[in-house]
Amino acid sequence: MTKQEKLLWSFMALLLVVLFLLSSTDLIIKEKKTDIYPVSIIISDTSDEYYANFRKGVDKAAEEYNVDVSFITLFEKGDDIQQMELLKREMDDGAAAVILAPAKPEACAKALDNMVLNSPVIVLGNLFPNELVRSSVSLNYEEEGKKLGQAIASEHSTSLPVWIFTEGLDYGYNREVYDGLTAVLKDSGFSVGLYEKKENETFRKVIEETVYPDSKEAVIAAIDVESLDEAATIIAGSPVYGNYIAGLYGVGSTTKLLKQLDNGIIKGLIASNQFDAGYTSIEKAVDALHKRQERDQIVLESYYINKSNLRESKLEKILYPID
Amino acid sequence: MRKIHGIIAAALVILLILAGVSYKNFKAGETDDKKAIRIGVALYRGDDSFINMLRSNLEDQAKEYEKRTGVKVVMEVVDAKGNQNTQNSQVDRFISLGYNAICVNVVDRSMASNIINKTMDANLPVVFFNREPVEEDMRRWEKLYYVGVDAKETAVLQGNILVEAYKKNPASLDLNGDGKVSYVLLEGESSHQDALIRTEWSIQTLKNGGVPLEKITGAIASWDRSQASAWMEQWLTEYPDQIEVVICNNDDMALGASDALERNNIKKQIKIVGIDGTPQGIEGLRTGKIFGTVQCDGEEYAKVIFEIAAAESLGENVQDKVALRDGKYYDCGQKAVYQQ
Repeated sequence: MTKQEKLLWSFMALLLVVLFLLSSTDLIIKEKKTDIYPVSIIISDTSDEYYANFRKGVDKAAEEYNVDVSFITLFEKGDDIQQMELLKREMDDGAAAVILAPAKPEACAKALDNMVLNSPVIVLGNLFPNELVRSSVSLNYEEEGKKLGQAIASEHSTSLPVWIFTEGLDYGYNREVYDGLTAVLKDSGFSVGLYEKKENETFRKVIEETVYPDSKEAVIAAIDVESLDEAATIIAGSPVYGNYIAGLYGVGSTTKLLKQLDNGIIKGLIASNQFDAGYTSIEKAVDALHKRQERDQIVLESYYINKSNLRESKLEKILYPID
Repeated sequence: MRKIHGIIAAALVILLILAGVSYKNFKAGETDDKKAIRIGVALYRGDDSFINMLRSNLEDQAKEYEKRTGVKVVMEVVDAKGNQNTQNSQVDRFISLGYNAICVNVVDRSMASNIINKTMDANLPVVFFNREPVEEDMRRWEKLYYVGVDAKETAVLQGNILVEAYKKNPASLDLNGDGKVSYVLLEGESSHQDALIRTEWSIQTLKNGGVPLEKITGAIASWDRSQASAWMEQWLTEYPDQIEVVICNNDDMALGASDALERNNIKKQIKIVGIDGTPQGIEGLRTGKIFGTVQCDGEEYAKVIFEIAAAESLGENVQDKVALRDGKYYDCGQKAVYQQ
């Protein structure tokens, strides 16, 4: 073998090695990696049934910002202690940011102050003082209550009592909605009764009592989505109740509730842009990861919807977002 | 001297190759963390009551499992809204995000091969449920499973509800006393394996049970309450006072037929039977809207789907957890429930 041939063979062998390293490993050419951000969303409920439009917004933003979303529900509804444990677990498991819908906002804010937070937190509700809570996406809850009260006051006489249904004033921001609603109703001269769901049949019993002799007609205001859903299901289940319930009002805008509004079971409801809430919360989480912003609170607008404005194009876009 | 140089060069080449391969393996194994499992669930249509019930049971199973074992479960449920292309992209997403197992309620059972190809390439186990892929597809890989119910057994149970009612009192079905039980049929989509079997064996059971049948008409309402309601409304106009029994392939369609009777203010005791035993169906049974249904054990259904997915995610032997037919099939238990 001549010297030239030897050199050629050596060169070929070397070339083979280089080609192997090029094609089978990333030692020489680094593959361009897309950063995917794991973000966990911890809600205050045991299922995501009432979060359909919110999730559409989350999915859209997740796709645009390369976010891998874990949607986490609680074992027990409103269990703030478990919620904090889940928050810690998610951070320990490497969540780049956590979006939290606090089960009990005050208790959550206190608990967060005593925790070591490894990642930024975005709150679905009012902004907490903790510096690692980077943003919040909320509604003006008291204003929602006021709008509901104004609608009831404008459509009914003060001779009718207003019964307020809620899963509990301590859950989420129900107390703020309640304060806004009762302020308007009391100013207008309505008598108000509060019914918190202490047992499964609480609302059914109250509604059934309206058909007893000597009972009076009443207006119902359900200040959270679950109570409104349950009240609407009970009233829709029997044609009799409709004669004794002068009007069912509430807060929430799931497809099922909007159908009940269209069918005349619900007279009016307060809705907000849940798609935007979902989209913005992910956007804010990504901003917080990149430290691109100051702490801020986004307050979304809420709207009073009844059968007559349900089909307005602006509201339709908000209430029925396309996937 | 030259020989030594050659040996050193060869050793260097081998070392380099070994280093490359080891590095690649090390990178691949780096993400193998089993303190948490990720399970994707792809539904053909989230607004189907039965599927919705399964979804909610699956979520409960995931929570229970987390509590029991301490293994974190991340479960993502997606809805294809009846579109196979959408479902394919959803599966792509599960693969790219490194899910450990997926549970698929495939939109089009004859198109499952696309999903199977992708998941086989990604070594991602699949538990199909409710809509069974064709047998040839199921045989392609050992990590493909199917959980459902025995459609023939379902149909026989449904047929027997009516046979028993007829034996007790023929006039309860033969409302006009003409010696024949006139029925209409509401069927699921024809591409679904269970729709055909449910119809065939339900009718066969009635015949075997000695019920004199006369079919008025039938239609495909694709498991959907509103479509069934529209068909029933049309038949009530076309065949006034003739319909005595409505046989439906599922509860949603049975409730749709009942909606039409309610709208037309028909008080005649037309017997409507469904299948699935969804919460809505059972409520319909309680309020007298439907006469009977076949209830499958929704908890067992979801438990088996989840157990298989969790076992595969953790690399455990599935057969140790769930007894499978042919190593890949599981039929859930079911029972007939009806007005006594």
